[in-house]
Amino acid sequence: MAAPESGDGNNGAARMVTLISSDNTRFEVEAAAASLSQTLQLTILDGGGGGGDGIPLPNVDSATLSKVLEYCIKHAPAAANGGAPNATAVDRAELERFDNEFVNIDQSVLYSLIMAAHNLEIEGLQSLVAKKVADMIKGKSPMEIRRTLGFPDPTPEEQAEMNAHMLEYGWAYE
Amino acid sequence: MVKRDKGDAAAARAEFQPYVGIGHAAAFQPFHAGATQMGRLTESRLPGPPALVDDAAVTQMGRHTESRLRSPPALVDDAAATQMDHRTESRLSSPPALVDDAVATQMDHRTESGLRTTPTGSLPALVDDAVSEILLRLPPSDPSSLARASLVCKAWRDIIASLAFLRRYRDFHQTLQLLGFLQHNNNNKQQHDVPVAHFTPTTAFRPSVLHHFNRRVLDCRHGRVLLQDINAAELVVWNPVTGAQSSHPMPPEVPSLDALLSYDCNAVVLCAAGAGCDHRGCADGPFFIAFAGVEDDIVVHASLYASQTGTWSPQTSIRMYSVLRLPAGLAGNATYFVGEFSTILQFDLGDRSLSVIQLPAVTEESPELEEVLLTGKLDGTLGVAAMFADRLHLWSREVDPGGVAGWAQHSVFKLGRPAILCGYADVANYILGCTDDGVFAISLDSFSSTKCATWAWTRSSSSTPRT
Repeated sequence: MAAPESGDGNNGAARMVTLISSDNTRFEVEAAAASLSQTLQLTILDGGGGGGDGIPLPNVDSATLSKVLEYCIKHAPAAANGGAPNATAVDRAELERFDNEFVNIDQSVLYSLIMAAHNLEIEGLQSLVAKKVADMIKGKSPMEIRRTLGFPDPTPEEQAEMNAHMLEYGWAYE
Repeated sequence: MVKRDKGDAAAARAEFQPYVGIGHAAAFQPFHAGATQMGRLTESRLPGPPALVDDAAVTQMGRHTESRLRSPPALVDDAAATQMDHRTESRLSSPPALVDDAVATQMDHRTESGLRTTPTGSLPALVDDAVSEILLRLPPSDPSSLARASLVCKAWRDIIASLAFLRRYRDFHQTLQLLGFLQHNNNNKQQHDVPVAHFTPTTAFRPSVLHHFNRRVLDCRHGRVLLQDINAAELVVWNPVTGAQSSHPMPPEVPSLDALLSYDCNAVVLCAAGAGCDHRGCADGPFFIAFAGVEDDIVVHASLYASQTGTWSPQTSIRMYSVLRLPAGLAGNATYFVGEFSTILQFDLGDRSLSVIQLPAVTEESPELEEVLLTGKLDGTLGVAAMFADRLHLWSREVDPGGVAGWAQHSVFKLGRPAILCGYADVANYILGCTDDGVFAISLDSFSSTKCATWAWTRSSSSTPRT
């Protein structure tokens, strides 16, 4: 799926579009999958991205884009069904399994995904990655959250401010 | 005590199931207080965003709220804000259905300007919109999650404290959280027993005050707690989430201070914002207190207090023997108080008229219907709940096509153990049931029960309270 190659237009019935990552890799993908991105949707509706043109995405690198498209391709059929009201339980379970595995990734990849999902406005993916990070930080203390997410050590002022608030909100730290 | 009231009956049963007192369920959403009055927050104890936004930020939030269509505003840093505004404009001005060259050009432009450089491996670099998506998904079942997240850094604190985020958080997590319940040592058989209203938490959330001495709990509703102060002979409205308290006079007709302990009365506190309010963020707003008190065991007087004017209405009266200190109900535009002999007093808040309703007729197997709990739902339906053995029976007040009101028994729920029904949280639609195995929250929407507290407070601890 979504192997980097130069797109040459239509392939069977499904309309294809080409996306170009920041490092100039071309991804050919079904228009329906790419349209999960609100940002791309209008351009695609307008006929953009077909043929040899391609839509440049100067802020998404190929590793991230490949991951994003993996998500889009998997979710496109369900999205086409309007949120899949008639999806079987098996289909839903399969999507859930896919989602769980999908976010089981290195943190730096996760952050790149958050930014890409945000910029491309892919609602389901935004929600999925945000949930993942929320799960990573829930139950943790502020310092643990900072460490988990790679914040730099707090400055003395920040530390003092944190300490003061912790005194006041002791109940949150039991 | 001159006479036994229903609270004593519950306490008598407590000889067998220790520590039972009258409880009042309190359903709050921990952050809702922040949404109504930002100005008061600086001195309040909102669990979570300790350092609160200043006026400038509020103004900014307001502007953003109006100007953006989707993803409600988080405060963004300057660079991002410029970019966001830019994107917003293009989004607003290009309806999705339009497909022409002009729009396409605009879209291309937007695609480029909207995308930002992918950060390298650190969350701090994320735009606030992405951060608020994450914070939004912290579980409301653990109020401390959001509280702790608010201490991570100033940017996060500002997001969590923002009006828009709090609103979004409430909408995202539809279910309200039962933060705890209140009970008081309702029997004053022993002279040295000082009345204490005690808050038992059911989540990590702790109000700034757990014990209110010389105070009795009268009602708990719409994020507010109504307490009766025995010493000062006044009513106190308390918001446990913010810690805000205000004192209000008793109705002018109530007896003098020394007779107050044995004075049979009950009251309801309710939001005054009207039918349109969902009671998720109104706890600092104006309220009413509906009060009913008994005179000489034959007449009940009722009156209505409005916090906006600080005055009591003239009282209306009806012949009735008692008003029990069981949790009262609110349904539609009327409050309901349980009386003796299977009666309910209805106090219409509109014309302040009083009427007496009989409780549902009882069956042979359940000859007496005294230990009832009123469950006035938000849709205006008055309900009655009672336990028979290990079963929860529910009735609702219905009006037939001929305009005659009557009771319809609509469900029986097998709880699996005997319980004393001690409180009803109307916004969350929970009944609080006390059993010998702890306190259970019984959802009337799903008919599921979950244990929400072991016995945290004993009657003996009222004389040696923890602070």
